[in-house]
Amino acid sequence: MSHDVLTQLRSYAGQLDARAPSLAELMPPMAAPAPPQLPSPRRRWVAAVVAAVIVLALIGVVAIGMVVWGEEEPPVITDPTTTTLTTPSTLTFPPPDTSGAGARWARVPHENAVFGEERAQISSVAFGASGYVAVGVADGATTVWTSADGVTWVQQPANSEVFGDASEVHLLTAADPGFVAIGHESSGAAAWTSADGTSWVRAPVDSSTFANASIWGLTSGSGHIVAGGRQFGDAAVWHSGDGYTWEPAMVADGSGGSIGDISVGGPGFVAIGGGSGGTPAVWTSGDGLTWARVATGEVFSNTSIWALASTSTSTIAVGQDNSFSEDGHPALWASPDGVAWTRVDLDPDLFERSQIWDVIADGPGYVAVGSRDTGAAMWTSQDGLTWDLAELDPTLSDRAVASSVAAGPGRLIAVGSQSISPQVAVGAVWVSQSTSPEPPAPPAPTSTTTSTTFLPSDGDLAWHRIDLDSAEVRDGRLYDVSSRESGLTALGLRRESDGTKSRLVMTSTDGLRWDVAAVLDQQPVLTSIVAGGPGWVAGGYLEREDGWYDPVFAHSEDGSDWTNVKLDSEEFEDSQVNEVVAGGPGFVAIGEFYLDTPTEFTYGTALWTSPDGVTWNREAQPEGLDEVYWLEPTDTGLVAIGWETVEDASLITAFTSADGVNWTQTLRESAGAAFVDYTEAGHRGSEVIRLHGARGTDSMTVWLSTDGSTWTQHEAEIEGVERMRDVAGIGSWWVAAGLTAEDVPAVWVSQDGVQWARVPDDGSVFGSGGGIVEFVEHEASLVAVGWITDEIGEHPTAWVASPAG
Amino acid sequence: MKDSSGGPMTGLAVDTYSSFVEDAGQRLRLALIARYGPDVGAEATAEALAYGWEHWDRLATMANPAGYLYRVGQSRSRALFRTRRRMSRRPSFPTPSDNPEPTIEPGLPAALQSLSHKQRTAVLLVHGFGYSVREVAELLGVSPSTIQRNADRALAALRLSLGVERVA
Repeated sequence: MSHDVLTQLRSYAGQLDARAPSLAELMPPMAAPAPPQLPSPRRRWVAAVVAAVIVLALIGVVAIGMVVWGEEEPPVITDPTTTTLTTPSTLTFPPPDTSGAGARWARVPHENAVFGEERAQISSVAFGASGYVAVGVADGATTVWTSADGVTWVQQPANSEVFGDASEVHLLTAADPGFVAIGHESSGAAAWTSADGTSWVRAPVDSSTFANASIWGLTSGSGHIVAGGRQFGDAAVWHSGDGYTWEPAMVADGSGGSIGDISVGGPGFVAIGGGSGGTPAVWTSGDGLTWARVATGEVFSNTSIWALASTSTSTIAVGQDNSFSEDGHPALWASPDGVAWTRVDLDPDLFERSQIWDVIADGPGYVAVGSRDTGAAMWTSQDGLTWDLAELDPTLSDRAVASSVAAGPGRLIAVGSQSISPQVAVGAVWVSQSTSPEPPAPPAPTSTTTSTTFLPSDGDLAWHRIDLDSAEVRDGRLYDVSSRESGLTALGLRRESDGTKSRLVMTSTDGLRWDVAAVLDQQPVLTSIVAGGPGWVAGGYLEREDGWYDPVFAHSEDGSDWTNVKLDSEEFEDSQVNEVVAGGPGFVAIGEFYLDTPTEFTYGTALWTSPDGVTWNREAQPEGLDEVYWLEPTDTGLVAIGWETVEDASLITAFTSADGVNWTQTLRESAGAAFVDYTEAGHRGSEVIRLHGARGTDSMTVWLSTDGSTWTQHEAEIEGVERMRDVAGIGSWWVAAGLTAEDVPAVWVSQDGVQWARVPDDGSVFGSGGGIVEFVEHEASLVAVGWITDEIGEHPTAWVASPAG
Repeated sequence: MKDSSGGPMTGLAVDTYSSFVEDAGQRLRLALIARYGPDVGAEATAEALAYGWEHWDRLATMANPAGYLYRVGQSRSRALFRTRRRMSRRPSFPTPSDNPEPTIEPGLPAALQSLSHKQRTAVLLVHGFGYSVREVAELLGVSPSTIQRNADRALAALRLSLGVERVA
């Protein structure tokens, strides 16, 4: 029985409502960029100090009952009985990073099974003889992670018998016997030791040693393991030779105070924290057993300090400037000896709206980690005085906080968490290079030029991949390329350390060797480039402050110096240039426009022509030239390919033109019932190819024309294709580049445009991520540009395909 | 977080914005879903709500902040459409589910897509999601008669398209 339309609408509306994210999920965070739901140990220490001050002010000395520790031996779990969970070890490092240790960070790929999927935070990481160990919480339970290389992580099985009701195991240090961890539980603090991070033993301290204690600092050196915190309202330090047996240390002038961190440094050890009333305080010790308070004067006034690190020549402390009403104003101090301190001026551009949660020494310099309003952040310094902001992919670190950092051979490992939603946080690990010697290298990735051949039928193409990483460009893409007799020019983008994108222009004489010709401002966004006129002509758009676009053209003689030409849009119109080609009166450009008046919203094709690439004219949109996205400058003239939407049907369209102004429609056919997810077009001499298909199927519809006027339709099967990105012709070949369902770059070739074969590749040529996005024919070869993606980021890449032999 | 004047957001602002979202947020969300489909519509909603929060000190003084945010969602959707420029750019409406029982003609999504965005938004908001003509008119910034007319024409078009007779 057919239901009436009203019933159907109500039912379908309910399904639409259920399918889309809920209103709660779409809400923005209505607070300052927040750390994860589980506060970091540092913040908890700061909060605890403040709370303690308030408590003391209100009720004076607090007497705390003691809990008697049981007599039986603590359990020892030596054999994990559940399957360990690992991350895939696919992280590889680029060629030596000349920018300095810690300058670039990669996020270890997230796996729910390893890093948690609900309430997870990695609080502390350390490097020891067995590798890296991290501690924190995953899905509400105390969790330990281990890694031999900092890249592949194993989540150790939950060990509630060992960690008991410890609510937060948050400190870790490497020391003989291996690793020592500190946590909090209902009765106070607790310590655990492990040789390799997989099996842990609880330190059987007596009932008084850690009773009512909170420990926030932990370090090891000179044969001692030293922990600092607060007990019974006073600053407290404990020391141990093995992490198993602990004794309290003597702390002078610790009454009403608390220790936030301890480090080897100064005369032996340095501790920072708060004195009575929460005023910042510093202590030093020669042996970790006896501590003296340092007179620091006013250098720490109106601040909080909570992390510490030392090199052989200096010690630095980090915290926050409390003279502001909100968080996000870090403070940093340096000292040659742990006694005399100087406040360091921090570059506001690098530290605006930031919080530094941890700092370590890395060789002669320092690495600090924390967060900014953009997410996790890392900073490096060679002397503790001048700092740089490290690069990391903002899309992988948005709403993340780095809480702890450790240095291992050749690696820096930072850990923390990332807020996925107000209720969900996952653990996060980042990796960078350190100043210490590299570990034995894994098998090296492919060399900068790689070639392979294949043979689908007669003849073959040899592919060469050119990796374009350099000191000038490491994280970026190339997305368009054009050819002329003197060489090629490619357009791309370079990601900057502050999250912005610069426009990249690269040139080459042969497609094999490339130079950076220009690094342009983020705006205007140049989308297409072509040779001709003054040298090179590009088109794109400028995004205004109100979010609307103005079309922009640019020209250059040599690819290095560019002059922009911004065109004004009509009222209520916003438009952009998508493609520029040589043809017609000189140049023809297409793009799109949006008319967004108070009562109407329409869009269509924008068309421009230019005699010289400098002066541009907006042409009226020809009838039917509805949504044209591809412009092919064939040997016989211009061919435009696009869509037309009629009622409930999508029609594929094609037009030809000799002058770029007057167009003749040559194709207007139904795209069929299946939804189209991708369309690409290309040319080979005077021939034109247009192909389209849908995700999830190897089927593709191919339209071929020898002249852009007469078209034939064909159905093709293309192995493994999920979507195409570009198609072009070279010699007797059609070559198409796209992605598989697994987002793996792939290339297919065909001689007739109907029978396609995939170019065999193990990822060494086309990469395992990223891939080719644009082809151009250049001197009997096909040059392609795009990028290769790995766990470090995106790397601009070029390819050259030449007939073999 | 600071408001558009540079001053820190207050708890009061959180409360008032929360109240606004509670009152009008769902309507805004469904309107953008009706216009652009669940995927783009949801993204446009998120963008509009984020804009609204960031500029709440100014929006709170407006007579119709929800209507303003609907237009913000429209302009934000342009950016979303740009990323889809090489694909057929119709708002995408999913195939209906048969769970718990088939009540929806398989051709309904396509029929909705074929409507003008004004008709589709009006008919889904009024007859699909159950809002009053007045509520929809206020959100879209047009007269109630315009909404009624668009909804009626949409219903007629859908019935014709689906070949479904009006139930007496």
